[in-house]
Amino acid sequence: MTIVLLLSISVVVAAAVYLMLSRDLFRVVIGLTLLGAGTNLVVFAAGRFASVTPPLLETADDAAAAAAANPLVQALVLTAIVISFALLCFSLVLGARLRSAANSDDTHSLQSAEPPATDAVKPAEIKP
Amino acid sequence: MIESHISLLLVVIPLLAAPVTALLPGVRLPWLTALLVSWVCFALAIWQFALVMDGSVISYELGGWAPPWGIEYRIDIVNAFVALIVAGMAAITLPYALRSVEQEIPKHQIPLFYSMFLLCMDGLLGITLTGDIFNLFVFLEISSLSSYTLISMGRQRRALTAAYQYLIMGTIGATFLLIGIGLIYAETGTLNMADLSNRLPAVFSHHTVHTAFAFIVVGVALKLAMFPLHLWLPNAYTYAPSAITVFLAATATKVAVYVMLRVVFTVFSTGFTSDTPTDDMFLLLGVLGVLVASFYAIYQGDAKRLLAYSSVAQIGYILLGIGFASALGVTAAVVHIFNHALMKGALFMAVGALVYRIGSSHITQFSGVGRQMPWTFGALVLGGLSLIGVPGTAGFISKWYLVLAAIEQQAWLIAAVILVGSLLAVVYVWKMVEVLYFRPASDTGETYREAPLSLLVPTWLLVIANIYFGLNADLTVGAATTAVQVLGGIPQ
Amino acid sequence: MRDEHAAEHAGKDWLWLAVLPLILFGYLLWEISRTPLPWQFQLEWVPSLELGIDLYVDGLSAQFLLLITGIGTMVLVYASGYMAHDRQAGRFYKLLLLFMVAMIGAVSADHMLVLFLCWELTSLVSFFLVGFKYTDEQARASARTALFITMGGGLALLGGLILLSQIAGTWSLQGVIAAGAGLHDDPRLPAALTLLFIGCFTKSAQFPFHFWLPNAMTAPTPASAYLHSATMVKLGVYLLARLDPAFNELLFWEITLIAVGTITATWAAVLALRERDLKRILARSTVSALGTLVLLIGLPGESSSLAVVAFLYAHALYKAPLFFVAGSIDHATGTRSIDHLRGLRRQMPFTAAAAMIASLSMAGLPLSFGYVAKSVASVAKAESELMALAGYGLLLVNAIAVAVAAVAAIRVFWGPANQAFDQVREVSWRMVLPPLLIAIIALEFEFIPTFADPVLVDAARAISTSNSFTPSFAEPQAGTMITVAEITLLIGVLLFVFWERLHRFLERFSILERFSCAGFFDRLLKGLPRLAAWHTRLLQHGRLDSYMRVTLLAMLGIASGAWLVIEPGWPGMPGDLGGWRDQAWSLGAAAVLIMAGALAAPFMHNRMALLMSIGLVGYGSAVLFLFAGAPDVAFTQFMVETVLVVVAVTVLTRYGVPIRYTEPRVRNALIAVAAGAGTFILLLQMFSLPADLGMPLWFAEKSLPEAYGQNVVNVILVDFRALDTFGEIVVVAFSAIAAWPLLRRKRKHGSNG
Repeated sequence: MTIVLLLSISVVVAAAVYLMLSRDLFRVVIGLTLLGAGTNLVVFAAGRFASVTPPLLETADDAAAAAAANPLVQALVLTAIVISFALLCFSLVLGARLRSAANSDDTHSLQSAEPPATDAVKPAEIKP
Repeated sequence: MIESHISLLLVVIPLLAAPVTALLPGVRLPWLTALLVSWVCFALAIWQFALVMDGSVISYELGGWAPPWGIEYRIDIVNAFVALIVAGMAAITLPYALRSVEQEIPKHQIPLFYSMFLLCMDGLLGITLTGDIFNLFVFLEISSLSSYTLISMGRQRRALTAAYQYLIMGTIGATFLLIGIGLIYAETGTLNMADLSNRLPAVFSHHTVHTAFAFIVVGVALKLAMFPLHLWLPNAYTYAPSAITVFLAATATKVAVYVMLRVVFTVFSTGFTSDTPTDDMFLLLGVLGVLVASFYAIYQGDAKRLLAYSSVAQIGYILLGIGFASALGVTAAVVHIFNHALMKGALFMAVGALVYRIGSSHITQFSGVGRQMPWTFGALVLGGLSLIGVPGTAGFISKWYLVLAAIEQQAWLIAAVILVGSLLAVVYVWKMVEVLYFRPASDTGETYREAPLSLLVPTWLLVIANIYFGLNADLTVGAATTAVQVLGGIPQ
Repeated sequence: MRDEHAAEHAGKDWLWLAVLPLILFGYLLWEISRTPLPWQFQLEWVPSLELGIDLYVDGLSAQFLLLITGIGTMVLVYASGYMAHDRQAGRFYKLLLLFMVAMIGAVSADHMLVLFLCWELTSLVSFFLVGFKYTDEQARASARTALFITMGGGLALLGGLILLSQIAGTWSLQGVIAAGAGLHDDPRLPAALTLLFIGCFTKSAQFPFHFWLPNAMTAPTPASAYLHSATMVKLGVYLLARLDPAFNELLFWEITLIAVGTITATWAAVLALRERDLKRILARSTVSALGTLVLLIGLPGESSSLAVVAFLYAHALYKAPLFFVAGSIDHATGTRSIDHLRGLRRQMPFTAAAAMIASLSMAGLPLSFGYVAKSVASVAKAESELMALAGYGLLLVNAIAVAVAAVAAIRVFWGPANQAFDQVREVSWRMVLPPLLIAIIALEFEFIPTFADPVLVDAARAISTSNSFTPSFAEPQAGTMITVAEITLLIGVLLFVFWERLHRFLERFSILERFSCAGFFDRLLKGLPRLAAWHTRLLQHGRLDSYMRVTLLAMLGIASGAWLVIEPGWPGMPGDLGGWRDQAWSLGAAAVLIMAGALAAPFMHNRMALLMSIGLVGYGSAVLFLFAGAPDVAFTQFMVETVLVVVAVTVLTRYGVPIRYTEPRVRNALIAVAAGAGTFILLLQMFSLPADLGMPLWFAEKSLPEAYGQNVVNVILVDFRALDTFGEIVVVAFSAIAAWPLLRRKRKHGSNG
């Protein structure tokens, strides 16, 4: 089953990359969300799926069993999930703002921010 | 009592002050809070630097949990030096920010602005001080989030574009970093950087370690705007509020460079990188960065954008120093981190002062203004000279070390590139000078007053620092030399 | 130039400033007579860089110092008249004084970096002086050219000096000279010398960098006389002469100097015939003289060093007065074109006299210092026979010099008067005295050679190879070179007589302009912006998708490169551990959810459907976490996913109706598949490694007894790694704070319109 899960993580990454390469503002942000999800799964996989028992301790003797579920990785993933969630909310909103300011969903329409090279000292000579 | 908590205070004070600042009413009060916090941080950073200046290492265990289990703050001269730059630049940018921000940002957003500013500083300090690589990621996200917000506050609509582009590229970078961290953890079972450097050599031959290294390097490279991953930077610097451009240009990329130094030299060490084409990659991209970005800079119509490209070029110089992987080269890189913060800080401040009066950063609008604003112009010229690397300025010292490092390795071509880069810098600095000073004033007959003192004084402080550290390089070079020994992993 | 703002803005009188260099000049003379050369002086600057202010003044330096201060005094006197009505005079004087300091530093520096620093400073001052009339586009363009050429050359010089210091192991010029022939075998030497040549040739306006100097004549005339004739442009010559003892045995050194010197001297002389502007004629002839000096340095033999110093002095002493004269004429008549200038001797008798005397010297007629210099030069050439060809070239050069001298002295001042100049008056004494004085001093040296001898002999000794060398001017041998001088004079007179015809003949070759170095430089400057624009469009075009393609491809490339560094071995298939087989169905369901969502997402063009499919991935992950022993993570994921979808739905209306843009779908898909495959290999690789559970074990052991928590994950979050959690909370809180105004602003905007 491990192998299937690894495969599904890879599919998430692939889908994320495809969406990110889109020209649509919204799809790019969604791609980023998906990439975040994929990354979190990769970090989770770094714990090697060594147990299905939650790392809960009744007594201190359960330590070895609890360690197998790799609580550290769980803590890291938890942090990473929350951080990426926060960033994505922010990017969704920023994207929305940008969309209404630029009046387009097309990232190519943002090109105007990138002025052509000019020679400021002799502006007349350059034909943009 | 305080002494043993400096590093924690450096992170906690701004972190606690940030939400408070956001809630304060008015314009002056949030500013004053931020200013106070930054000055306290600066004082603490100086103190901290003084403690580790002799090359000693202070380890601070958060929550009392010993490393590698708990998060460790490990202060040595390298990060104390970078923390000093961050806190110092914040302390000097904030007095500058008051007037500039009042003009550029709508009033109701100003408390949020200062709050985000503190948060950004905090994130950068956190990245610098932590000894735990995952904690570094967390603080990286703090600083990133706040810088996206700050950039989006620029008064042009394009600021949103810039912020969005930076957000996408920056998040990708952070994601790569996180993947790398995950992989490295999978290999070694630890997140503490000092511990990693002990455990990694045993697994250097594993594929995963190499891949992890690649992910971390690329992730950090995106953040430090390594050519050709710098694509987000020109817009971000151009459209951000002036004060933010000053702060980010002087600190954000520098902190990323610091992370690169740590990863390449402390965590992995040259024993690892010398088996990989890492050094060659740094040298190649450094050379390309210096040449191409300087070339672009020449033909920019916007002064901020011009300086932004020049930053990419200067980062190229720093990468060259890292790529040499020699004591001299890394010394040059560390010194240049500091000196570049000084010169770019001064230059962006001078341009910000022009923007304050003229309302535009487009060079054609600067016609003859240099004669009307002689102090601003003077700062621009001196900062420019430092950027070029004229002897007697800070820029010379770092370029000089870089050239020496290149010669040491018989890399004549790279030495030549460094010199050509300086020539290109002459050209783009001269462009601004010509328009500002030699062009007749605009036909509209509008005259501009000299920038207000609150803008001029910080600018000139940095200019004077540029000259001072150009004449007396003992402090910077001494610190950098010690830093290179402390970083470890570099053949002396 | 007559200043439009004239009279009412009469500036301050700056004449007193001339006292400064005068005192220095006197002090130098006195000190030279008292203390034997060389003098040395050292001061530490940046010890860690071996950088110090090391000064070394020998005969050559002393000669230059005397020129700098002596002519400097005269320039300041002259300028006080010339700039009397210029509001910008103050700026001019500041620049001149700064230049003087830089120049003094350059010729007395022993540390090569100090030399470089002063060298660049002179370039910078020169730039500001050339562009002094900044309202004039032509002046700005000339200043730009001068700056690029000399600054660029300066960088080459720096490179050369650094290399040289590496080869010689010292930063001291004297150290390099002392190492001398010992350096000849170093493989880096040719590179070092090439860079050095570029530096010196740009500064001294040698071919092919000669074009900046005539253009630099837009500078005020006192500056031209000082910088662009007497002193600054001689810095290149100075450095070459200074290093000559170390390298003159090298064939490369010799041939380069002779070739470049000859070409420059001849070419510039010919171009002088094409000019109609008196100042530009003088500038061309200056370039020609500089070429002669470079040639003389390149010549082997001992008397060549004497020739160098003598000609150097002579040139400074006749060219500066001639420039002054040109400036005075310009000042008085408002023109410098030789088409209009004639018969001025009646109106400007003193200036005419100065021009006559200086021209005598320039033409090399007997009874002039120039004559001495030229005869020594011919001796030097006679000594090395293989230089005969160069000699013939120089014959032409000298002949043209004679013609130029004649133009300056005769054509302008004699002949019928030009009616237009009836109202012209002699210029003030401040502008008459300097040329007259310098020209007379030059004449003086001819009558009483012993006057100039000590300094020149010292200077010659400083740049000659052998220590036993005792040069003397006592007897310029008669014989062949007198004949040469006569022939030269004859040709010169002929050239002068046929000046007009020659001029018109040469003017027809407008192609010269097109193929000249200046034209090339101009086209280069114009072409570069186009290249930059093109290249910027190529890389920095502002299309985000393409930026990301670059980034992701870079990542893929570097990651696979990193993977290939070690011989690739295919990882095996990981088995199921710790109860994973028991949970196969639930985990399988999670995998299916995740995969279904991920596979569907790229095909969803409806925004809501897209959201639903990524929601599927999120909830799938939550299920995975739940069954894989991470309930805390699972709950967080559930919550986060829900909130994210809610937020997304809220802002969804802000985005427009999705459009299917033209995109390189296949390329994108390929990159995506590659990324997925890479991830898969990466994960397999990771699973083939043993897990190090040391850290989790430690946490699990400490959790209960020391941190009093049963849930290890929670303990880690709130205790062991509390700072991470703290940071995480901050991120969440602030993203909400940051997002809020963005939303609110939009709302306001929306309600308004």
